[in-house]
This record gives sequence, C-alpha cells and structure tokens, in this order.
Amino acid sequence: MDYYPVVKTVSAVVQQDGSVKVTGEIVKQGADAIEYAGFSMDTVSIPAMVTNQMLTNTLQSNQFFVIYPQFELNKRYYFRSFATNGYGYSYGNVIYLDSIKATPLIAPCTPAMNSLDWGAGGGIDTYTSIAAPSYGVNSYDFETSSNAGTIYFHFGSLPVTKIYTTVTYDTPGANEAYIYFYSGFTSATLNPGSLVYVNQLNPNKWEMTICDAPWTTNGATFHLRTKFVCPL
Amino acid sequence: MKKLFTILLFSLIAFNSPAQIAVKLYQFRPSGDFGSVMGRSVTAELLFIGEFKHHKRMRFGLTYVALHARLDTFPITVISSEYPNVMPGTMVYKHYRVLIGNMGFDYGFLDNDIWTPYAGFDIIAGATDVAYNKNDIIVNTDYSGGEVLVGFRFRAGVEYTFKEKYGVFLEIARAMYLLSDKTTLAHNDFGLGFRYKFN
Repeated sequence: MDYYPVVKTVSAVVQQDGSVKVTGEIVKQGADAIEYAGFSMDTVSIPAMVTNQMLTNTLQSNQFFVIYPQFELNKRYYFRSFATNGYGYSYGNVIYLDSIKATPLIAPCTPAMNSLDWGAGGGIDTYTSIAAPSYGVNSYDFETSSNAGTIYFHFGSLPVTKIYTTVTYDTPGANEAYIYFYSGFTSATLNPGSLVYVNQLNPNKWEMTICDAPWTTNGATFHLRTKFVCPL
Repeated sequence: MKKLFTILLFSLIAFNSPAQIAVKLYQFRPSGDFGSVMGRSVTAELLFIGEFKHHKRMRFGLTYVALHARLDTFPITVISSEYPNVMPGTMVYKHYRVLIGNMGFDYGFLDNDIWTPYAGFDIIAGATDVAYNKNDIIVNTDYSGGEVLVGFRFRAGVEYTFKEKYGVFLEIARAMYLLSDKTTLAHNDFGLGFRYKFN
C-alpha cells in the first residue's frame, strides 16, 4: 500500500511583474487525507523543505499553486513541491528557472535618456551624476545631480521592475517612492500619486521614467518629466 | 514474562483433556496503522490443544515475533506552534518485538473425526519491546522500552486428523489489542499447523 502522497511539481511560470507562479499536483493522496501541500525554493539544486517554504490553502482538481514574489536577476532558482498526510510527507520533482525578470515596463511618455525637464520653463536639463540605490534610513536612497539642482529618491524597497507611486512622507512603503529636490532657492516634493516606472536592467542598473509628475511651489504647479539610467 | 509463562503453565495443569501439542507456522501481518510501520513476518506458535468434546476444545498458545519496519527511515511531518513551517523529520526503528500468550477455545462445526472446520476465540496478553530514534528537527529522541498489551483474537480453521494421533490444520485469524500507552494495534495471520496427541 502507498501510505505517502505522490506529488508532482508541474510548472514554474514567470508573471509579468517578475513574480513566479509555481504549480503542483497531488497525483495520489496516499492512505490518508492530504494535510499540507506547498513548495520550497532555493538557489541550491535540492531545496530543503523549510527553505522559502510556501503552503497552499486550496486544491483545485488536485492542483495547487503559490506565487513567489521576488527574485534576484541572473540567478537560477529551484522549486520543489511537497505534500503531507497523516503518515508523513513526500517530495515532488525539482524544476528551475534562470534569469527571472519582469516584463519590461513601457512608460506612457518617451523623454530622452538622461534628460530632466522640471516643467518650470527652464528647458531640458541633463544629469551630471546619478548614484546607485543604497539602503539608508527606512528606505533605499540615491540622488541625482544636474546643473539645475539635486533630486533625492527614496524607495520603500530595493527597486525592481515595477511601477512605484509617489508619496509625501519619508517612510515610503514597498511600492512607494518619496521624491524631493532642491533647485536654486526652490525646494519641493513631487505630489502624491504620480507614477515612477522602474525597469531593473541588471542587479546593479536601473532605468527610471517619470511622466509629468506635478510638484507645487508658491501656489504654482509644475510637471516634472525625466528618464535616466542609474547609476550614471 | 515469567508471570505470563506461570499463568500458562497453571492453566495447562488445570486442563483435563489428553495432552496435545501443536506447532503452527504462520505469517504475522500487521494491519492498519501497525501495518503502515511494520512489515509481515513469519513466526511460529507453540500450542497446547485439547480434544474436541461436544464440539468444543480449549487451547493455549505462545508466540514470539521480531518484526521489521517497512522502511529503513520513515519520513514524519513535524508541526510546531513555535515555528511557522511544516518541517521534515525521521523515524528509524531499531527493533520491534512482540511476545503474545493466548488462551481460548475452538468450536467444531462437524461431528467428524477426520475433517473438522472450526471457529475460535482467544484472549491474548503479552508485551512489546521497542527501540527507535525519532528526529523531528526540534528534538532528537532515542527510545527503548515496551508496553503491555491485552486483546482478543478471532479465528477460523479446518483440521485434518490422521492416524488418530496426528493432525494438520490451516487457520486464519484476526487479532486486536490495546497497549498500555492506550494505542490499539491489530494484525491478521494465516498459518499451517501440526498437532500431535500424547496418550
């Protein structure tokens, strides 16, 4: 008699946002009902059951799935299913994915690369330096410099290919960015709700685009448009 | 163990029928949860059996069996409120031995000196001797000990008698018992026996 479940890792599919949907199947439940089913994930070829374990709550036609949210670029990740019943557990096969990355985002505007338009009538500026994001206090920070001023970017998480939403507090959440700048005697913060389009080109390089994001100073509202690669 | 043997000996002394000794070779087949852990084993039962009188006879028996685990290592699942994950563990049995004494009776269905189909019932008592290692990541345990067991056994069989003194019999049985740790076990068995009657 087969006391233990028989389980199979069916597929691992990269989603548009760079997450991975892993699907498994209970081929046989064994001599007792299934208690738990899930996956483990690692960069080693046989992931241990407890490594990056995700459990599923539902079975649909004996299939189950989980979504792993985030991966580093240029690494191979291995996924293994498992299931348990009253007698014990068993593993499914291992499958892997290379170079997991999100579908590149296309911003609704196409400013020139490394260009900066403050929207205040001063023409198009170019960046003289752009740092890479590094972990600061509560956020991943970097600054850009141009002849017209300095822009500070604070992301709530290490930037990945994603659309971030601007906020006006300096503790942004995982999908948020706090952006403020100094230009001459002017300082301002991008108004909340604007979108920052980020494409992670490799583990240490990003492309960012902001389309007509409003900022307000002295009662007047202007619209910032920029596109750049960081670090420059 | 000594007490069990003494009880059996006094029961035999009180036994009034002509002495018949038998040996049954049978396959011990753990079932249910017991069968998920232990595999089948062949063993022998030493029996003292009376003659059928008015369709009934008494019998006493003693069996020792050393069982073998179905797997070298059992994969067990560990769930703990202290840890968020489902964790893998292992269980390895070093030995599992059972000693069973039984006392019961058979009822023969035919008034026939040659072929006798019968059904029977035993009360069984005995003990287990178990040793295992259990590793559930949190704790690694080596256990050695045993439990007392009591239970009962139902059987059906048919016996062929020849030359008055000899008989061969075929039996199937189902036993269920409760251990002192309150777990219940069960096994089936079928076997072939040989009986000899002393004058």
